[in-house]
Amino acid sequence: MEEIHVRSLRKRGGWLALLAALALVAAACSSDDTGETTATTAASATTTTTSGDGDGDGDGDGDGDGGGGIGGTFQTALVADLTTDNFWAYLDTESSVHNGYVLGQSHPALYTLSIPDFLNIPVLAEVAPAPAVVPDGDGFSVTIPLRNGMKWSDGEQVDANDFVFTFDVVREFELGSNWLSNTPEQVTSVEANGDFSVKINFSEEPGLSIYQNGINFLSILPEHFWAPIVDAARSSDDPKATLYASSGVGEPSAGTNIFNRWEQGAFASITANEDYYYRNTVYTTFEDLAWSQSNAADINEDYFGSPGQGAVLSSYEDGPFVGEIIYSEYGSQDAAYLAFQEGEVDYVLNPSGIPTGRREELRAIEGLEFAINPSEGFRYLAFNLRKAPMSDPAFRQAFAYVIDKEFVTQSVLGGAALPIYSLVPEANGSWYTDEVNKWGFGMSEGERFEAAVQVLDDAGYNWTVRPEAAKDEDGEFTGVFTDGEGMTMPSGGGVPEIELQTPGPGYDPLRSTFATWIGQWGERLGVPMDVNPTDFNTIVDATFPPQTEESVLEWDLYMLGWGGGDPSLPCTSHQAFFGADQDAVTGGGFNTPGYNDPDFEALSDAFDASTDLPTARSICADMEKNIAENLPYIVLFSTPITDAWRQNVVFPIEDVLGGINGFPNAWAGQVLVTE
Amino acid sequence: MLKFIGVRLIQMSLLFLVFLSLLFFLLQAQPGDFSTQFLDPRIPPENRDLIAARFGLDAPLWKQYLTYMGNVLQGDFGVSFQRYPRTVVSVITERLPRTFFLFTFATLLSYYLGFVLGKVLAWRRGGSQEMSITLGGVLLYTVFYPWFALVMIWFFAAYLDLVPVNQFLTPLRWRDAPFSANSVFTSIIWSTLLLSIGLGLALWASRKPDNETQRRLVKWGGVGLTVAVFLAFWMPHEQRTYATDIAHHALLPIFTLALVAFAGVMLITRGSMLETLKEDYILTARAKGLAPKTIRDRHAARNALLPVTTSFVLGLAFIIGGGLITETVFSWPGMGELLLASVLTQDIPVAIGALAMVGALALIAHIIVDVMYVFLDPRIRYQ
Repeated sequence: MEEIHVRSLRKRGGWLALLAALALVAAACSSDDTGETTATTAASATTTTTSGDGDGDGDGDGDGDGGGGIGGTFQTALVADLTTDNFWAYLDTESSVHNGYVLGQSHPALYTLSIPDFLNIPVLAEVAPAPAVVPDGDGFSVTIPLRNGMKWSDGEQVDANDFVFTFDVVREFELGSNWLSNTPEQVTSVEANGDFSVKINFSEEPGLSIYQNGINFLSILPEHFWAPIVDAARSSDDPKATLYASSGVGEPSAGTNIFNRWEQGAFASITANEDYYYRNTVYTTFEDLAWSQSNAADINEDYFGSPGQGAVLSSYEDGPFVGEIIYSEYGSQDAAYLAFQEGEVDYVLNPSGIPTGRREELRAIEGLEFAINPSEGFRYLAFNLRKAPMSDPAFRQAFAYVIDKEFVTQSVLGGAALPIYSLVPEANGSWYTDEVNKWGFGMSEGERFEAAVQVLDDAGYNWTVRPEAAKDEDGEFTGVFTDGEGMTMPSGGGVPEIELQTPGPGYDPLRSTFATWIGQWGERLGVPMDVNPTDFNTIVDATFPPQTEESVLEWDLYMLGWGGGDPSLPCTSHQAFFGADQDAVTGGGFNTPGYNDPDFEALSDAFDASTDLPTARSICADMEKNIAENLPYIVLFSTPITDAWRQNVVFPIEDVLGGINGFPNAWAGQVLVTE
Repeated sequence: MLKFIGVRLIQMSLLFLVFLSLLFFLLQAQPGDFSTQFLDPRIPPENRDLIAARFGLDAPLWKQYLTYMGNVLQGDFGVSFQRYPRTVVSVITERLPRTFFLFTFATLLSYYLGFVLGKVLAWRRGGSQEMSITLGGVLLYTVFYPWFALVMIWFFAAYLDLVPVNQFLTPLRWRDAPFSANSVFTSIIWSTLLLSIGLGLALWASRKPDNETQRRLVKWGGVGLTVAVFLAFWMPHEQRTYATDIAHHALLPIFTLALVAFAGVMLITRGSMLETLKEDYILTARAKGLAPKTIRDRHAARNALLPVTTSFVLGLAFIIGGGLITETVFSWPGMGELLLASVLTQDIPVAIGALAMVGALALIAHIIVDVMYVFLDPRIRYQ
């Protein structure tokens, strides 16, 4: 009998569990007074509530006079998990854009970039523009006065010691990734001259990327919060790991928001820093790129810059206006956009914007606002200049002629991409130049083809069957082409099969489609093409460091893309991509094509040495022309970034290079949420 | 028996090491590595080398393997690259309760539904009821799951607005919660486990009295008392609101999973029952004039339980792996989502750790099934 009972019990296991589940569900469905109380007594407002008037000042009167209150909750979605709450780690091993969305609102620097115009404006520094460096012993130095009165959210003064502390920790603990960009090796040390002045020492006269856009952008962390943690880390077995293991939740903030809570895998929240130093400060940029930074509410008496000339390019008031920003973590883009569609979040923080397939779906929903902005990034075709025939400029020029970017982007891709001819996007107005060689631009398909064949012919290429574009009796192209065959190089050898590696359609259908067309155009010229859609990492492994002299010869052409660089100093990327010292083999850098042009090197050196923006812009334009002429890359296209948000959300800016979500630290403090 | 278990444990240990080795080399065979994410013109290229060195990726593969296996043998599964410096064990520990909660309930529900329906189908063979339930079950079993899950979300969450769209909690409710979600998950799991034990004891105790009335009294009294204690525990509990929120979010994924999975169990049960119903002792039971329900539930279904139990125990092992699709579609941050993210970002230690846990549990489940067979089927004896 006992055995029967035991078996009966086992048989009923599922039933019991079901009962248990039902009991839990019953509890779940029971009245929920406690929950409501919790939600409504939350410290920083309830759900989305009236908090602003839409005029940017947050005062509810709509007149833009400043002095607004704080309230409401802005609910956003992250399409990937937050992986750290530690700011040190975020700028090193955990430097994902998603971490930046949450953690990037709390730490000041000496200077920062204004949005949307990318001008250097002071934060902790008291003067603008940044003072000039002066010779000092064997090197150079600069002394920058700091603001007196800026405080961390716990009331402690933000001062020079915080700056020096941060720099010293970065150097002592050998922090990497983004920390390296803001503590370049040319900065030998930093010193505090009292509480409100810092002296920065350089080993050589610094250019813009070292000084104005380098050390001046170093994020500053509160010494009084981190010093005990750093001390403990210092005496541990693995100082860096110990430092990174410390939670930054509740860390004092000198930005618009304070990191409040992180429920791992679920959400993070930041709350308004009511004592933010620049609260209610109005930023205005004028047509001549002069700017002003003034405080209408007279909370701070300081006034920076001077009124410029011409029309106002942009103007907005600093917040914070919303009491809390919640970042819900979603496991996928689909899940995030589904939540957005159902009204569970107000905005999706997706660095690449709304996916193409989602746009029409979202446009059908009432109550949404949209913005389409140009991207900072671009997709490109790279040539391996270490191998013939890619090493021959004529061969590259022929490809530049036949690649009809307008046709592919508009006719084939239906406008999902924008054709581009320079690395700096047109939207980055003060750095963009239109004077680059736009091979084949404005030509018909036949004209492009004929020009490409002519370039190859002039360079000494031969064919057993010469490629031709047929013309009618009037000399007009008929659209009928004769593919080239038996193509030989000027040296006499046959043109080998050229492999074009591209990410597959599952990863990027735009590049995959573009590659197919490039393959067809190459074949038409008589170049034996092998278009190989493959894994992204396979391409990176084949082309990026580490490479040897032998391994680097295994690729011919590849298509990849670069995301945004520094929009305020975009040609630093050109140096990384094409500088001879950045060769993927000999320099371990990102110069995968192996470009080595003396003219470009001279321009690069001059760019490094430039200490003022007009000079840097002029040199940058020349660098652009050099690249467009010599074609180590053929820049192909960029994809516009589409953003959508609920109508109850008001962003301070909507038109900005890189899209709204490209610069969350620029709007987190200014966004409004209305009822 | 002990000798058998001992031998199996040794075999399992060796198999686990082979499994780990395969995992290591398979995951390492992916092109690229974690440092690929640091290709950024704003960051000096040498940073990739620093990252690689920090995580030991600059060493030859054989050396990485030996180091890894050496550490594993000491119980150290390394640190997560993506969540540095958190250990793999801590990352998995964070995700485990969420997956355990979701998939345990879904699995129990699906097995309960599947077993009951399979039993009934076999008993009422040939009717339209059998055809419709079988057809429906097979349709659900073979449906393209991601699409079905989205349809479920659309219907129950978007159209009827009965449940949340996804995630496992409501941030607005949790932003000031004085405890973590995992502590609530833990409370739910433990209290439900105790509830189940209480219910089991009540049912066990109800078999003791000889009188039917007393049996019913003990049974329902015990069940009622257990449920009352459960509710008494939760109603004033400070975590109740939060447990409610989690349960509310879990309803749809549990229901969806159970709908898709129950048909498999139903078909196994049906097949097993049909075989059992052909046995002579069933005929004997009928001849004795026993009630059909008694023959079905006590004589046939009990013997048909063996393959279902095997499937159930093995299924429990894979619960921990979570469902990549379920957790991704419902944005439920458990082991499945962790595994997917770690593979995509080449967070190799976490990927190996997550898969190793599934493998270890599968091995343990196998030995449990082997041992259970001895108790479930007296004819089985291990030499």
